[in-house]
Amino acid sequence: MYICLCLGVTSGAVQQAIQDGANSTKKVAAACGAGSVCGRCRHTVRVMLDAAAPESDKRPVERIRRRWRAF
Amino acid sequence: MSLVLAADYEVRDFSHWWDTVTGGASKLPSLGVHHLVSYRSIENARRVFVTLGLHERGPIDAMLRSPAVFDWFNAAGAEEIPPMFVGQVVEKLDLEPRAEASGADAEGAVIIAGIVSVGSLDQMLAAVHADAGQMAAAGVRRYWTYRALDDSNEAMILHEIATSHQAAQWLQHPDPAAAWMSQTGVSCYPPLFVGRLHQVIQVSTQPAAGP
Repeated sequence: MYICLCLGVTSGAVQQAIQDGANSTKKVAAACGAGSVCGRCRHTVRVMLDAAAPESDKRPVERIRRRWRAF
Repeated sequence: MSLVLAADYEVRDFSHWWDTVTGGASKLPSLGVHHLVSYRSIENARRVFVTLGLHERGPIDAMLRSPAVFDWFNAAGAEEIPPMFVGQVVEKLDLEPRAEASGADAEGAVIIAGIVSVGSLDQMLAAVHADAGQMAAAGVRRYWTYRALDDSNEAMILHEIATSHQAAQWLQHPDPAAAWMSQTGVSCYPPLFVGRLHQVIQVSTQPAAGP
């Protein structure tokens, strides 16, 4: 999946950044660029961060499962 | 080379969204788009699944960041850009003769679509071929598989089920070949999409200007 259209950053690159220790959208942006330009993909990055977080750090399920909305 | 782009998202007002899509259709040829297919969810009337077929004209990164793509989402009122699948067709398996499958009798067909990491796409396709007879008996008419450009194990799968009743049964008791359905909705991947074909737009592309 392409996550950041501005820089053409893929989900694989975001996942690698998270595996390498990025645990916030700012750190992911610094590591791979996703979310560093227009910022409109940060919701997806947050979802990926939540999915990768330890159970104890996960946010409420209803926020995680919120789908991408065109409004 | 022909590519497929796909995105799954929600719109505030479906009719307004579709008006903006059709109103902006004139921009599609500049992106190399030759087909636009929209599906509408059965479970959530605001949820759409859109695929674009396009001729590759250069680096995909450059196409994705083009103003026309952002205009597309802006026109729909998008604040967030959904993840986009970019890939190529691997196989379009028609499980019943095309003459019977297309046309008016397809109006009631249900489309089940997912974008997932399937592990081994080749193994999944082998299972599909092995189960083809059972799938056809369960009402599966078509099983189309696309492989992502950026991840060889990532797939977009669209399959068409003849009736709502058969689709409900299929969702509850899928064949092993559709085990991937339980893997949707993880991380950046959208939840399983269950809907119907809304519209197909064939875009006239102008041939490149000669010298």
